[in-house]
Amino acid sequence: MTFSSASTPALLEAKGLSKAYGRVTVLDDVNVAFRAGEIHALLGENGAGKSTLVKILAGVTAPTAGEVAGPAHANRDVAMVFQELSVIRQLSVLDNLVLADRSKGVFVPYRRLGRRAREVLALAGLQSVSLDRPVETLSLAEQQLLEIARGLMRDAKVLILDEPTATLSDVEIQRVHAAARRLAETGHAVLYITHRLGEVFQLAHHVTIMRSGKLVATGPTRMFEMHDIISHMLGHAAHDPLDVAESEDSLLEAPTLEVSALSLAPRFDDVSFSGRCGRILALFGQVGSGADDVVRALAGLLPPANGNAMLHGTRLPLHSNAGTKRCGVAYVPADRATEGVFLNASVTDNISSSALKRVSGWSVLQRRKELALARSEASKVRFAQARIGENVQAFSGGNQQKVALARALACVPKLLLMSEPTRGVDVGARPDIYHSVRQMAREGMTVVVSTSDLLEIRELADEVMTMYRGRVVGRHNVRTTKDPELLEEILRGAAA
Amino acid sequence: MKLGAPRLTQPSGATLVAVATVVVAVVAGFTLDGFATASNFRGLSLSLSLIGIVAVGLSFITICGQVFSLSISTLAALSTICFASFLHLGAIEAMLVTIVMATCLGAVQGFIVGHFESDPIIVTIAANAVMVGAGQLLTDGQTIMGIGDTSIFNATIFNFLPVEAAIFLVVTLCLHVALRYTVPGRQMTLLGLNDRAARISAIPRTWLIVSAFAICGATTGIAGALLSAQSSSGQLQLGAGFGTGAIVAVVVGGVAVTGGIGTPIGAAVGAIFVGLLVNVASLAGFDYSLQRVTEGVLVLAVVVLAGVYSRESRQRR
Repeated sequence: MTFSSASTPALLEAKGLSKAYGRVTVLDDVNVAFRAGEIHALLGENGAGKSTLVKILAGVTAPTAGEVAGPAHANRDVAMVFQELSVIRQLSVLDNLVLADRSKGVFVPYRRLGRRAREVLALAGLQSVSLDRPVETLSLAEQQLLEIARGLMRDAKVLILDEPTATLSDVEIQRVHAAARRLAETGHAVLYITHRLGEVFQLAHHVTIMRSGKLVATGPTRMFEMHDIISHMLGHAAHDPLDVAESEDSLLEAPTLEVSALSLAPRFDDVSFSGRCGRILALFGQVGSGADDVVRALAGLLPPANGNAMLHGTRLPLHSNAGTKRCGVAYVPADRATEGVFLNASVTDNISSSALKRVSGWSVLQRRKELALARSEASKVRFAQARIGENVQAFSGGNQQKVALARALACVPKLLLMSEPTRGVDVGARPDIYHSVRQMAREGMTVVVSTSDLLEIRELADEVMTMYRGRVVGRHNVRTTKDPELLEEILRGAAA
Repeated sequence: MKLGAPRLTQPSGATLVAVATVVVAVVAGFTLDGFATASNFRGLSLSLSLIGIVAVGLSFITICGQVFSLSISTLAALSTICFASFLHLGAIEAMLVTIVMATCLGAVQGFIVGHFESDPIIVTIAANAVMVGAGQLLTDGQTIMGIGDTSIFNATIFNFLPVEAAIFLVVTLCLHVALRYTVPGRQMTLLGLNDRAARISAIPRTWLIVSAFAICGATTGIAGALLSAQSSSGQLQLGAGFGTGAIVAVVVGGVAVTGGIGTPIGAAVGAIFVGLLVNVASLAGFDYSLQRVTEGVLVLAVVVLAGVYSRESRQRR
């Protein structure tokens, strides 16, 4: 499998790369080389600095210190294929490829580009796709391959693939793998970012592992075992399972939330679990694992095709979010700015927004009640009461998330759902949010969160359910489970 | 603390326009002959009241995040026809029939916009075409003369306040209270601020949009009926300036086209300011064309100022 050798000259090389935003160092003295004919896997937990590194390699961001060298950098021959598809769905395959072409001039040289398009499509494994086909008729995997073909269109020698398989199914993944191998065979250097450790061993010649902005291990794949990689990714900061002892093991009561056989192809399949009042359950999985979709389904925002959910013995009407809200479900979305809060309104107006019934009589708002509600909910999430008159727009992510949480709590929910409770939340505000949610749970609320952050599970959850590609893998007590076990389950889909 | 004020320290658009209105009025009172007279005041309040009534209703559509209705002028014309046709029942009765008719026509447009999530501009353009055609068929292009006594709507209260202006004030206050102090009003504001967050909060989106269009229809009906009462007649050319006039007033009055920001009082102040400027321009000897130019430049100035302001506040963040 080891196709490369250290004697091949590097196409692209990072020399002492560092990047700091203000006082926060996100990348610290990284040295790594990428060679022609090699698939190079780049691994690391969320926030390890992978994206910053590839952005610098692709020339999107400038490093604070160090430099990028190598012939590919000199010729601007680095193409980046992003995780979010950037193909334009309404245009044809050919037009999408033409957009990636760098030739200047008033007219588009369609004939020449058409020939070139056929070549790159063959290389990307799309030889059977017609150039005139609208991109929206392609499958997700084919769109992902087209994304790769776009990178090839301008003769890029180094291709950076950012989690190309995160949202794909098994068969589709094989097509992407085949394309990556073909690229390596034709003398490209492929930089492959992934969270699926399984594919590292199938695919990569070389592995580089990052943690907290530093490069912690690099070498040919054969030098690594699965558990090496996981321990490198976690480092010594791996949490001892027993250091969170705050939530006392109260007598286990009967489950308050019973979810059975929830399915929505292709997002999640046959998901069943139960939640108890006073316990915080985390659905743990990578992007595309379905953990987030299950939470949205319970909120009534993503109606499942099959299955049902009972809350305190009442069947939740999962087809409507007005219905689930009436049954006592509140949801805090991950994306604050677009879904979680009303940016251009005051904290008070935000908090009362989903509980207007509580602050009005005969549909007439009572400002005094509204202020009292805002004050009491703000104190529950440890939000400074003096600021409840201010506009949410100017706040930090942490304070905005507190407002979003207070909004949800204002409906007095029986079931609190959260997606990525502290994504983009500053370190200072995280404990406040964890504390408030735990407090709610202790007062008898059932809490289900979806997260892709292991630290968050340690800080917040009592129980964790791992998910992999839409299916439940395992369920554990957070206190008695070690990190590597959980990581293996979400990365490989099999119990360790 | 108030919903709609973009910054606590920053005065809202409507306040600025209100201040400008007072300043212009005072300056004109001292410098222009014939401005500070009872007859000019009566003429001024007559000329701006009807557009003001429509603008206050239109502000609900804008605050809901549904931009504008472009069928207002035609709906106003249909309202004049309706009022004239039913005037034989009595002025008040004809007014009520007209309001019901216009409310329903507005609500239908709102239902299409809300339920099918269609673009409000396109829907109201289409509705406009349908209503023009229907009006043509109904009247055969003729003027409908109403038979009945409309003096109640052409009276002057206490010898200085025309009934039209009084209705304008009452409608503005009622709708302002409805938007600011009721649950549906607050929900409309939230919907305009952030559609997706509003959906997640399970706000009755379709119903709110239907209500906003219905309110706009009702105020257009009132304005159309009052216009018809001035001449006891109705025809398709009447009220032609209501649509653009109301849009100008809403924009000048500090209601954000993106939704969620602004109040009905703001729209009313906008209507008063525009009416005042046009009045001053005509007293200063500008002819009709120059008055229109004044109006257009004013809207452009407001839009440019709003753009500059929002860019600055983005940079400050």
